[in-house]
Amino acid sequence: MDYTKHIFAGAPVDFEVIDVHVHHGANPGYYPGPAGGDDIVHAMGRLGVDICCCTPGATASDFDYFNEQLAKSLDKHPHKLRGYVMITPHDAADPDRWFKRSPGFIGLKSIPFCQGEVSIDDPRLWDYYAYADRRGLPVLVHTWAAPEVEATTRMAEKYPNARFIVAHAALTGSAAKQALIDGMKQCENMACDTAISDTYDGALEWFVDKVGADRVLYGSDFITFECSHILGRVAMSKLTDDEKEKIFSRNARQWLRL
Amino acid sequence: MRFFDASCRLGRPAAFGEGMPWQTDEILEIMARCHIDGALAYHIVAREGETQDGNELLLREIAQIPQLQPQWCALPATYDEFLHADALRDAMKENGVRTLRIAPKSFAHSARPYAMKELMGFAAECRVPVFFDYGEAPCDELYEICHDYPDVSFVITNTAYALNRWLGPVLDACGNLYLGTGNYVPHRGLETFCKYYAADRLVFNTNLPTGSATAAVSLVCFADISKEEKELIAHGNIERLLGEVRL
Repeated sequence: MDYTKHIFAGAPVDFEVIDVHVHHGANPGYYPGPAGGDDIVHAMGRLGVDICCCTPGATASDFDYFNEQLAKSLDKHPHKLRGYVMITPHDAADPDRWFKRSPGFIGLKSIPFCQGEVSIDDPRLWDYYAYADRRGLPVLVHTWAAPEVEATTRMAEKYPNARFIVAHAALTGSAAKQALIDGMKQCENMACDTAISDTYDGALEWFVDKVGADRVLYGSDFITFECSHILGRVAMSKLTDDEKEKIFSRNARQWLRL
Repeated sequence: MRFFDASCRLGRPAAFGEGMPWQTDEILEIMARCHIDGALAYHIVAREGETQDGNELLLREIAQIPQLQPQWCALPATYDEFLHADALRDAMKENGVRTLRIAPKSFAHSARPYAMKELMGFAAECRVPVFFDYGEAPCDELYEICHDYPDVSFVITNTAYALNRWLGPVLDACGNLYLGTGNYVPHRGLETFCKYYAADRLVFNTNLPTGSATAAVSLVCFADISKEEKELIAHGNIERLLGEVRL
């Protein structure tokens, strides 16, 4: 497939794209515009993205409010949007109520760094991971540096039926990348995404060369960032067509059971 | 659509990420893959070490590469460590250099007129566009530079996502400010810029090798703006600025 031609057309792409890392709700420091479900779906149409898996809010404040806002959008766009339930170490809430609230919720979002710089493997989060473990759910985990990846690896070992998607770290610093490579080799229930605001051409190819393409999932981090730049970064990379197809959708379908 | 990259960098960096293509032939391969016909390039030695030697290195590096045009790094000639205005004009004319890049924070000098009057006076007189990374003069400093030298066209590069509210008022106040699109990744950033300012103040660039050409091209291709606006951004605006240079 001529992926470059698709990008240069500037029209909705006609290959399948599943974005596993999208933010539902505005982050006032980043984007001065609306960022709800309708806006996400509009942007998806511009690019030709088929499904977006959304986290509630840009960070992690008032998770009940943002979970509910996302649930409303999941109800409105059941064929386009899926959601992760935001969890918090500061409240032992039962995530089950959100899965009962909307069938669009498919997993959990863990971002304890934004919840008082709590560690990903903090015991206060174990009940949530155990919940994901029991149900075989994906957990999208915000990481950046090596210690966060290593903490995620410990949780992936502890909860082998939960499926951890390590955000960002495949494309951040050397130590984080190495920790992720080690973790993914150690734990088959660890995957990663492509979300990053800024990296260089060749970074994704290098990482895929180390771990293979089977557990690399397309994530854009939009609406925090523009959604098109990651699409082009993957599409016009030097990866093979088969690797691109896996990253754009096949892996997500398998990993998220879509 | 063809692209012309208004700013990329050559030379071996002190540190580079795994898989980062930094050699000139690797840069050219990416340009070809992304349909980028040409680029303005500066040299890392000029930017991070010996300014004049680095500028000379650049000329030698690209001498046989027609796709690459030289961009020189510059600093005030306070200690005769850089060319004074007349000599700079002659050297740029002789070597086909039409843009300059400053780095007041990295080079540890003031950007105010008491320090930069000669260099900026030259740039204004010869209509030489002056580039700098946003991190060299962020926020209020960006306004000060643009305001202090209203007859100089400034192009900021290496921007980021959390910039909209800082940038807007400066664009309102300073018509001489242009934005390099490389890594300008706020959601709908280009659309918002075109709506509130104009496409003719956006200049396509990649920030290669630390930036991503594939991402930069994609941002423009998918922007919800007219084809004419995309053409201006992709190559038209930088070609216009270069065409106005009078050495």
